[in-house]
Amino acid sequence: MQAESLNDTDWDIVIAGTGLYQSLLALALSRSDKKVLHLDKNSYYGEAEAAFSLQEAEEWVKEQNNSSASIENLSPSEEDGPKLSFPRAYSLALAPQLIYTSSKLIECLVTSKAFRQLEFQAMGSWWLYSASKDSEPDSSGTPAEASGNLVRIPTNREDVAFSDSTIDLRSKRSVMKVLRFIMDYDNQEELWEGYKERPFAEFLTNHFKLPPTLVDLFLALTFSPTCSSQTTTAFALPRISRHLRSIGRLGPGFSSVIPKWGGLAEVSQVGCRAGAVGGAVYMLGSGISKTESIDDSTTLHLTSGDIVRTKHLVANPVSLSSNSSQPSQNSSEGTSRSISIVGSSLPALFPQLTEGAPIPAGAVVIRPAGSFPSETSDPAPVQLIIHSSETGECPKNQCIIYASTPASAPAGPSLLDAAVNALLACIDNPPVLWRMHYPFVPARIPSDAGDGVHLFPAGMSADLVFDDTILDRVETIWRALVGDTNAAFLVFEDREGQAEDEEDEYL
Amino acid sequence: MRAPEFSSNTLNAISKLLAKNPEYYTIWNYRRRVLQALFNREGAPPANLIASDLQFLVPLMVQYPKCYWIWNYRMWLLDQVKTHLELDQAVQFWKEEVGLVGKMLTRDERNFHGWDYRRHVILQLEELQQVSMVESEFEYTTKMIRKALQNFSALHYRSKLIPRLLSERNASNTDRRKLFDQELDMMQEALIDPFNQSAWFYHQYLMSTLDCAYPAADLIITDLLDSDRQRYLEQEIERIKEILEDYDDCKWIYQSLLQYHADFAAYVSTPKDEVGQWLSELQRLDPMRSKRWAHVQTILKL
Repeated sequence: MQAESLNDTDWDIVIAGTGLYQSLLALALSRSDKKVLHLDKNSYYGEAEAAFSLQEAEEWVKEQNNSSASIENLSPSEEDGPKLSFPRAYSLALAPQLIYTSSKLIECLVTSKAFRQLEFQAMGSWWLYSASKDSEPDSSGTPAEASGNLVRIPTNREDVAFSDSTIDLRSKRSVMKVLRFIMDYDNQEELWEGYKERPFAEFLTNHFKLPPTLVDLFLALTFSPTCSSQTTTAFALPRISRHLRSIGRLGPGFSSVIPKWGGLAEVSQVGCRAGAVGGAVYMLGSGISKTESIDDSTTLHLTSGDIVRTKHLVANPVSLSSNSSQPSQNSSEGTSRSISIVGSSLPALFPQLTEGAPIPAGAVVIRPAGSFPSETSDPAPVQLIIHSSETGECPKNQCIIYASTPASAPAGPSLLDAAVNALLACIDNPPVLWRMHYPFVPARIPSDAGDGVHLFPAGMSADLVFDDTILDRVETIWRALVGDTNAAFLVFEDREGQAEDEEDEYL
Repeated sequence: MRAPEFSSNTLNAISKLLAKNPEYYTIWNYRRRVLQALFNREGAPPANLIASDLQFLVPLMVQYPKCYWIWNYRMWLLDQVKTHLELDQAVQFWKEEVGLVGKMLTRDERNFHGWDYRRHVILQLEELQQVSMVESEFEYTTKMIRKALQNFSALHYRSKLIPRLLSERNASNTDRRKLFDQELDMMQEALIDPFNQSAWFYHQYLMSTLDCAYPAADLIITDLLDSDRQRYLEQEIERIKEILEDYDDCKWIYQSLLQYHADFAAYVSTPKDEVGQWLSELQRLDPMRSKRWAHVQTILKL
């Protein structure tokens, strides 16, 4: 809370928007001697990476002013059975991205000491949804949604050897061979060079003689938003390798983590908190209505009525403008998303990973493209991330399904619903209590930002895995702002009193 | 510490010293004397003293997991449990100890101190409770093997448990064969990665129980006929040869084939040129031991 008004003040840096990019920048700047003002036109932190209660989600959807954004409250009126809890019992993540344990983000959060305020939880099993081939068309002639089953994707030798599915010994050996190859693929370029830009599926079929069902397992591990024919070998190999390499780094049995309490929103919160401790001034509910470049600085007219001056402005295309104007969008990219609250904890999706492994807080289900009977051209995969109540995002006995499919897919929202419903049909058909649909379309970054104005992308890409290049972008702008090319990025000492005498976790 | 002063102040001083250098074994002995004096004193219940000393050891064990003196002292402490505490309390301490060993082995499954210690703890608990724990220990090895197929310690421990397990179950000949088959199958699963040396060792153990000269008390199948031996060998050699279809660069496959050929020549015969081929593959894949393979060649008259 400030006693004085902001009007007519001068700043070294004004950051507009508290999305992940800007919040990581605030963390990076928290030990510098720059005078920082950090604004957000919303009344909440996080922008496109925010976490919402049910109420906040409803308000946000209204604000979107977009016909593809909607909410359905499906909570049944009968007395028995699962029901929707009160709005604040939920913290729905707009950014449920998983973070590989080998990701630079983990390293940066550790070296900057920000990890102390975050609780990371293990992501658990990965499943491939496999639709059964025979589907009877219903009375109107439309092919019915065939039933399917979930196959747990094996990622290491023990998984393969002891997998419950009916993969025969010969096939298990093939899978093992492929896993071994992928762990060492960068030393065996001669083997796959010829298939670099060819579909990965082709490489697996031709070189390893893998049958189609096993090819699907490996494609699923790429967690790619594109369909099989567009997933090249050069794209797939490093992604699967990263998955395999990440297993065991932070504990046995898991390869990725998620922050507790609402996905990347927590990381944004921690970044801003660090910024505030470092002396930055924070103002929510205040956007920028006009910018003027005068001499060596930028003058900002805020929606609060205050006028401030700054040497540097950091923003993204959405936070740069006030509420009313929509920045130009890249409609070919982007995804169709949904968030479903399920009236069951879906225990079948969260088996114990391995001896001594932590309780998994999330699971991944991949629905490969082309597995819907009603799909015609341009099939797209559907990616599902399921969060259990361990994440604090919902009450016990419920869970959240985050679904995503490329925006280019026709009838994206209904494709998502079909995928979620098909998944639930495999596991005793619990009810969906509440569902939200929304599009995510990345805004184009204008190339002519002007001197002293630094722009981030607005929101993350369609990839549901945290992209380390986000940190590169933050670092680039950070260096431009502090002007010191020798300093280490996000490497700090603990502040006085910050490092509690941590009782070492003995065992 | 001029005059022997056996008090809790001394204990604290000793603790500080040991935390810095646990290898100074004389100090551990001194600690034992202090503790014994405290046991004999009125007031301080031994259970609390022992519990807090066990607690004191834990961070030391984490920091120095291979220091013999810490393990010895811990075993001495738990031995004191048997002398100074009621049976129920004693059992409780030892049960918790099983839990502790389990956690340490989860942390570092290769620490042979850990496995040795586990055997010791289980033995003590079995004596105290007059109850066999062989079933749960067998289950434990299954868990550890499923966690990491290269866990040689778990496989070794398992091999030691099997004869006792079968005897306590009063296993019939059919049951014994069933277990043998299951163990062989498990190793075939493990050998989908034929570079796993531990799996080969365990497979060799299983095959060795087919030998006529194997000690009767440790047999898995007790009613073996020569026809059984022949059948098992043919089956396993066939299964191992299948692995060659996918791997041409793994020396362990050829080494095992050669070993079974040599050990069980009475029951299964392989054409000389095939054995010769295995040997030349070994020469190719393991040239460091070329003299050894040449020697084998002579012995087998190839």
